[in-house]
Amino acid sequence: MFNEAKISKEVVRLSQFRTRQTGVPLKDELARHLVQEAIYSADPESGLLLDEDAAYSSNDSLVSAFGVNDVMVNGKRIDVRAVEEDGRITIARELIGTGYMTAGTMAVSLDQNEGGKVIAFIPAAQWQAADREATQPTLSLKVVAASEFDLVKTIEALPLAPASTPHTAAASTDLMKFMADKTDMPIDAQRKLVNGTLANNQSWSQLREVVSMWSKGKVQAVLADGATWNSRVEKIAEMAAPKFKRLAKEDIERIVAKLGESYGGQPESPAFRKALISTLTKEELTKLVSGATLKKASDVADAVLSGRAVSEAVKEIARNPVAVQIAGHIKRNRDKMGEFVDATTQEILGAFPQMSMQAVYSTHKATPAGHSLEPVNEALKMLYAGELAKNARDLDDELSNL
Amino acid sequence: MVTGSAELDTVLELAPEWAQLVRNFAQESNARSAAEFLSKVGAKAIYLKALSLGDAQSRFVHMLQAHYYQPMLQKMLSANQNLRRFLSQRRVGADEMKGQVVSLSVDITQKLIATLNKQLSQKEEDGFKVLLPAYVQRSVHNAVIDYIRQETTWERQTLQDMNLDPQQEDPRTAVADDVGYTPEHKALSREQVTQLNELRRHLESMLKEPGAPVEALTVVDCIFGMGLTPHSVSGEEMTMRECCDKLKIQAETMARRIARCQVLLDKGLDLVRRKIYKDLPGIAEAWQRGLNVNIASRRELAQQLGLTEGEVDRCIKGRQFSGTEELIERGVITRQRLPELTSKGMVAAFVPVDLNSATTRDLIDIVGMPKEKAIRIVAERPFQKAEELVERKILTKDELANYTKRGAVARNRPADAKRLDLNRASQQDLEQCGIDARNAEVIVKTRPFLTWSEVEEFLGAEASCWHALRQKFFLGLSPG
Repeated sequence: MFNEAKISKEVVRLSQFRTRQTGVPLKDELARHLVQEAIYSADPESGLLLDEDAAYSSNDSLVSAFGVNDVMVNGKRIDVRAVEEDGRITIARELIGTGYMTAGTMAVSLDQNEGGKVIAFIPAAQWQAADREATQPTLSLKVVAASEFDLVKTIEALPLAPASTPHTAAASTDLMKFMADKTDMPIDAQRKLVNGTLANNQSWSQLREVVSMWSKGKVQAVLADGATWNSRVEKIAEMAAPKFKRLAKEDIERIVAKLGESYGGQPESPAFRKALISTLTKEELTKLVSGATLKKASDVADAVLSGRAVSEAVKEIARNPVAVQIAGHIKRNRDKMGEFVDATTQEILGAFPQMSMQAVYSTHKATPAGHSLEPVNEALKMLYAGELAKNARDLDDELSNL
Repeated sequence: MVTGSAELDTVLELAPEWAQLVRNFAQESNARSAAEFLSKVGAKAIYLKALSLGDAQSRFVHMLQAHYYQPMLQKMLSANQNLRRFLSQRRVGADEMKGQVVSLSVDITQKLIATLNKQLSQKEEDGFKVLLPAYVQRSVHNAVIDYIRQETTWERQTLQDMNLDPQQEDPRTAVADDVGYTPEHKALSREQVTQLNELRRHLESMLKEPGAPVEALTVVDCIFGMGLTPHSVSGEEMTMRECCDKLKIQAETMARRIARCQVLLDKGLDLVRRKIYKDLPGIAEAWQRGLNVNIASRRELAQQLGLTEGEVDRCIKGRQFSGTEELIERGVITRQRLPELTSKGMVAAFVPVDLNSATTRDLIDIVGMPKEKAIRIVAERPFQKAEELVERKILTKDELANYTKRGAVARNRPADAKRLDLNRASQQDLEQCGIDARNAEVIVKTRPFLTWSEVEEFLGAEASCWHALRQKFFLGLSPG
């Protein structure tokens, strides 16, 4: 039977690649190839000759914009559609009643996309009848498989495609409107635009530009990239959240998303990682300290992030070695990275016995024992800032392996 | 010259009884081509004429080769969409394409002539069929498919060799970019990220609008794995079947459920497209196909972007750049050059280069390693972490820091190690994992797949092996 055929793996691969770009269903593309294969395997004496150049389906832009899927055989233009699993075939309404749809549609039943057979022919008149009742932008018809469908005889009986009549080429703005949002465009205007574009191949380059911006394939590619980016943002936030306990996960996500606008979408980028860790550390610090101490704590964090040891950075910036020493002892007596709280007099007094040297330590704000809390608390905050930055540095490794 | 055409005179010389036909043809159509005349005469008449010739038969066949088969084949091959698409995917230029057509037409002609001679020698009654255009058309189709098959096999064998000689032309520049052969897969530029953040905000607010078509948007969310609603997880795309189950889309049969899901998906995609058209016009520009300066070859930088030799040197030496502005900041190009280069498609998106899977060429061209180091790394991998290269004295600490800055990472994915790559697993592996023989065969035959939706398109949503597929396999982005 000439209405049955196999589709080679190579053709399937080419079809997959093409439909990814055009955004049209793979099944329809394969169905058209199946009809072509069936024609190739027909007896050469039947004289069925394909004119691939004359088929609109050879043009990616026309396929993407209007969903054309035709073969041109012996001057006859035949639309081809794959029968869905529910036994129906579907076509965009704007194609009905145009120069494209003068003959009708070959309905193809595919078998796991490896092959299949042409099972019926839907004449253009049947589509037009369905169109008169239609309310949706697409038309769908139930296909009844012909008991002994003869592809060659069916094609022989079809009318020749009419010679292209002059139509006004569609304006670029109308094409753009059609591609992006045709809901407000009356169906007759859509058909006029389809006819105008198909008949004027000079306008195809213009169509190509519009399609490259607004095709279904383009929207799908953007959404797939959107999913990738959203996933990266979430993963980064999940990694960072345990290290920045004062920041809500949503805040971290917001920061990550914003940084992508400056450094691109790859967290493996050293510039991205550096900016992320620095920003998150500073955001966390603003929740911990304020005013002049914030500036000093940020400086400590920067120094630690650029590779310095916490104690060294704090000593250099605090400029009060005794306060730093006391703060260090207090910190060691507490949990490693517990929540920050101001030092108590008891903690300061408790720190002295652990110090190697009793400091002569007094300021204007003396404790009952004659010692000030303010510089100690400041040094303590800086130590926390340093520890925070040190922990954040670990995030760098994790991000590089995202 | 009798007819005013050397070609037609040659025909007349061998078939003088066609003189009247030739004259009528020349007058009617004002045509001078022997190919058109022979087509008009028809296959049967040509074959009978050839049979009737004695010693002159070989000259007649030779004339057919030059004036019948060759022009017909060149026309058919030039119009062959499979060939055109295959070559254009490989960025073959127009001249090279013409050369390929000529070369293929010579091959096919020789085969057809051999068949014709065989028919003539055996005086086969239906031997004229070899001359029928429909027969030639079929031969062209088969020859093109054979050609594509051979080329694809060569590409796969070549690309699976991870130790490409960096001195040779990179074969990836001449193969289809339908699978993520190169490390730029999913590299997002800062312009794209800006647009994606905007898109997310818009989609979130669309979902909250009163009376919004939430169902259609949720299907889009699930199918693409956008993570916008509680039904989806970002980065985890769903198949139609999974989406139907997740959203409890009801219908009498699975086929109907899928059909309903498809309608919702189409509706959702139209809504997104309309939103982009109205509120996010920057997306169109940000997703124009561009050339990423971080991975482009020297030739692409010079020919496609028109960078000067000095600019190309500075660009390759300074890799990688987080954005096009950085090329100015770091003195690769001047500010005046930026608009022109952007209009030619220049983008700068950082690409991670995995030390455990990158080609030698990528390590040299993108990361900037000397050839010897790159070869050693490829020979001694895998590495659990980048620091292992220092521990194993392959790189110094400073070298590692420099290469890391330029994009080197050491990916170690234990989760994937437990699963098999569906794009590479053998049929036996597939069957051992519980995939029935029929579906395993389809998978091996039709891969590689980029998404699970593509797998679903081939296996059908009702395939019993879905659970095993999703649990035991991942889709590796490599030539299968």
